[in-house]
Amino acid sequence: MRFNLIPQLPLLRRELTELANRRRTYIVRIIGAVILLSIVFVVLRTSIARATSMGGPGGFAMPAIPGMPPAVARIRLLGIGGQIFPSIVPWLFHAIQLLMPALCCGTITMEKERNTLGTLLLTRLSPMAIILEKLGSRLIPMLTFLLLTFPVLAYVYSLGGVDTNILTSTLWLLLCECLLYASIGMLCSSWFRTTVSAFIASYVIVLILQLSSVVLRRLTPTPYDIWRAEYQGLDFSNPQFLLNMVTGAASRVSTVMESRLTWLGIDFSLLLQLAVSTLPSLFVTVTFVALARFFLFRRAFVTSSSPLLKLFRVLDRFFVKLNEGTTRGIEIVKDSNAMPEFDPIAWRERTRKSLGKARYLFRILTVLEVPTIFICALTAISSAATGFSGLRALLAMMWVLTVLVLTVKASTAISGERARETIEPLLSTPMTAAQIISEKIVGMRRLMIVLSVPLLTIHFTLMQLMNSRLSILYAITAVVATFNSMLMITWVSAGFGMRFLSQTKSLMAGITIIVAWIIIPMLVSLFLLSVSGPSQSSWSPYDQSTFRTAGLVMVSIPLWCCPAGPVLFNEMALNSAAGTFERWNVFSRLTDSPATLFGLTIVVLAFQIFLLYLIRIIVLRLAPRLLNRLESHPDHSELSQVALSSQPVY
Amino acid sequence: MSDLSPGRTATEIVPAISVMDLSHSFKGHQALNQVAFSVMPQTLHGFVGPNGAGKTTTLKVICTLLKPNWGKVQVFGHDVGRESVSVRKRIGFMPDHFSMYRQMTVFEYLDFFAAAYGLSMGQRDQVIHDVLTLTDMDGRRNDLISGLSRGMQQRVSLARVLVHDPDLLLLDEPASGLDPRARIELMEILRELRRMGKTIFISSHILSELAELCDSVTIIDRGQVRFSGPMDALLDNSQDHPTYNLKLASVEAHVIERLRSLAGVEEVSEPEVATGRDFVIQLSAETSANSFLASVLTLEVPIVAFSQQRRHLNQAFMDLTSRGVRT
Repeated sequence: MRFNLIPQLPLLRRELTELANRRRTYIVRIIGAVILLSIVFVVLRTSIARATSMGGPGGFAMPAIPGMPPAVARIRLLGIGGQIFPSIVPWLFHAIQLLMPALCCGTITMEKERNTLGTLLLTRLSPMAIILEKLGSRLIPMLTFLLLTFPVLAYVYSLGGVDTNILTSTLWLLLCECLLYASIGMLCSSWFRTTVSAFIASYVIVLILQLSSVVLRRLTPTPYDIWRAEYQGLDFSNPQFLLNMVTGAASRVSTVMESRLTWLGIDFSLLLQLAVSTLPSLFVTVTFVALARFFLFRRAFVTSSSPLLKLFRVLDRFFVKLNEGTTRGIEIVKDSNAMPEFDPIAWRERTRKSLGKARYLFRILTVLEVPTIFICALTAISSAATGFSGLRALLAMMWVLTVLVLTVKASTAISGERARETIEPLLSTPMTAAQIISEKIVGMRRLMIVLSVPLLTIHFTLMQLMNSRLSILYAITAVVATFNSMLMITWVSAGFGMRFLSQTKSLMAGITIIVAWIIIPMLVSLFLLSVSGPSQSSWSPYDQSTFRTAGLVMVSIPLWCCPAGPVLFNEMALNSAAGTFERWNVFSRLTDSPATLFGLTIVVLAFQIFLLYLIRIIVLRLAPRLLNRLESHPDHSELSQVALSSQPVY
Repeated sequence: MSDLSPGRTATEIVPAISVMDLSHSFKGHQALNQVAFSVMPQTLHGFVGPNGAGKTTTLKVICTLLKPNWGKVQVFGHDVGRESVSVRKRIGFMPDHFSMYRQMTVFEYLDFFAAAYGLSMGQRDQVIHDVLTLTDMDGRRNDLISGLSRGMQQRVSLARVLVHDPDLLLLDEPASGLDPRARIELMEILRELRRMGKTIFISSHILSELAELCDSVTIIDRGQVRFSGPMDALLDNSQDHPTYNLKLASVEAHVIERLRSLAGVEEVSEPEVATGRDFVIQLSAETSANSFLASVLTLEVPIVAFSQQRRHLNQAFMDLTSRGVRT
């Protein structure tokens, strides 16, 4: 018998068997492991380099001395585990925050999409059993994924400086973090009809959880917050009355039991204290799971419709009523309902989608722009002393949102048609595959403009605040870089999205590709900087300007292909021009010349404009094959007869 | 559009569909194996076969959505691989599912596809009016598609296929999921379209309706064509053992024995108990109906009706296709 150990969990067994039978599971696991281990390795190496050059804790780690015997050099690493450990563990938490909702958001929705949830509900499995088994089926892969990093943690542990209590409490907090984020995914999966909606909603909740930390964390600190407070010494919420109350109660409990709770070097009283402090997050987890169970049956057969579109329609009704009540229905600007001229697909994207209609996009713009302006003002004031790093953080967050929205929209552009089975009539028209995909992207033009507004607001705020003589150049580069990066992300997502039959697969593939495309070059660049960059404590070839320029080019090459590259270089250039470069960027060791950095930005941008052109050509060339369609090369007379798409194509 | 190219005579009519030696496989599974058949213009051609026989694959190749591994497919003389744009302009494809943009009105949906087929804005209004009238949906032009019944959605789907006035309609299971009334109405529309000169290639499981509707038929099973030709040729079983129905006004004693004794008669079945007057007579291949009827007249029995018995399409289908699930 293959599953004697878990005979009573049929759904979990089925899910795990399905996962095991998919080739994709192994590919994703290997790619994920390579990325995570690469990150951990870079962090480990950077931390060791930093620790050895600056001295370890308590004087155990000595600075590097040229000609030091290897045995002595190894001894100097002793005790630096305590320094390295806090640099690595956050990456594990981030991996959970990033992956867990994605893993869980499709668990129930996929059953709904395949029309199998009804059958499942008719079995003897209770709704709670379904939820818990589904949850378990996604927790196990995540935990095995985390298990991959344990050898690295063990190595760090062996270096000394990390006691058993820190290790065990970190493991507990990682588990709690997994449960919290999994419950978010489960709730969204239970509520929504499609995986795509559940995916977006999961990350919106995660984003809200991150953004509203000031209020929420005091009430319900996430396991990561607790870990940071405990082991990174971050006083993230001083008047944290609830946390203090909980931890205070835990302290009292642990004081009473202290003498009995220490075994094998593990201080169980500390663990108990920690466990109690995670109660609020566990309570949230249980609430989310209970809600998921509550909605499982009630929303098992909901019809597919865009929640955003529904919201907008409710708002429409409200505004119409308000208008009739106040002006008796006078409309100054009426919605144009012109039918498509010769760009039907772009027309449909513009007029029939929640993220295409001008009126709806204006609302989204208001929702994004008003807080952006407000936060811009706040962060500018609060982070003036740190070179406006708060504004950069806001910029990064807006980019995350932009990338997410564009990737979701572009990668599901074709697979959405496939899922709704509307692709075949479209493909049997004389429109070429290139025209179909081009019109899909032309239809996203308005959305890109809306998303660019908050980004450019932050750039222009920075430009005003930094007050550099090269501000105009910065502004022009920022505008071009913003649109170029957006278009690159859109085209690549659309290209990869076309390969897949299901929306979920195309969405996951699109996001994985884009995240990897952004993160990997940055990591490689950081790695190159860490392994060959100039050392502050010893002689380096980069002390000479020629070598510094060569080093700058070498270290920046990976970023040439990264969509974030021009934006990063542009920001460095602005900081350099404003004289605040050294405070925040490791690149400052290689150059601090604004002219060099602006030159680099322009060269990288020019390269990326060419790259965009290349990506577009490749996607359009591959379009017929990716759409599974026979395509001849009609002569010009045939094309002119068809006379499709008078719209310019990006 | 005429199917007679300049310089061609009526005897050289270009087939609407010409499939030659078509083979296709998916991941080692042979879906089509040397399929060959042709469909003449302005006819209604049925395409039948069990599940997994290769019907949808063949249809997808014909409508340029699938590149075959081997073979040649032409639509009105245009090769589907090399002249796909020309082919698409002359075909209208209706897939086997209700694939529609549900948040559009009927008019918007048809206008969308009219634009996709390159019709100018000036033409579209009239064309949409015409196709909606033909499908009897003109009164619902401003209704949302999501609010229409399944039968109505199928009519809109058919209207969509017609917006660019194609010569060839490729319909994959158009009647599946429809109630009997909607099915009968759909068949009426198809008859009307045939009268208008359209070639209709229809894949269906509803054999009784196909038998009434189609001029010709192709039966496919396990990726191979079992029969392709006029419907009459399939249903007419006179080639091997012609069978006739003989109805008498009254049955005298020993009639069966007397009929059996006639020259060329192979078998006479007992009449049904309910009527007791209908005989089914199987003749030898070389015996003609005329000579047999002349012999019957010599028996001086009161004949009410004499007709050739035709096979039902169901029977022909069962005879030609293999039993069991395709592996």
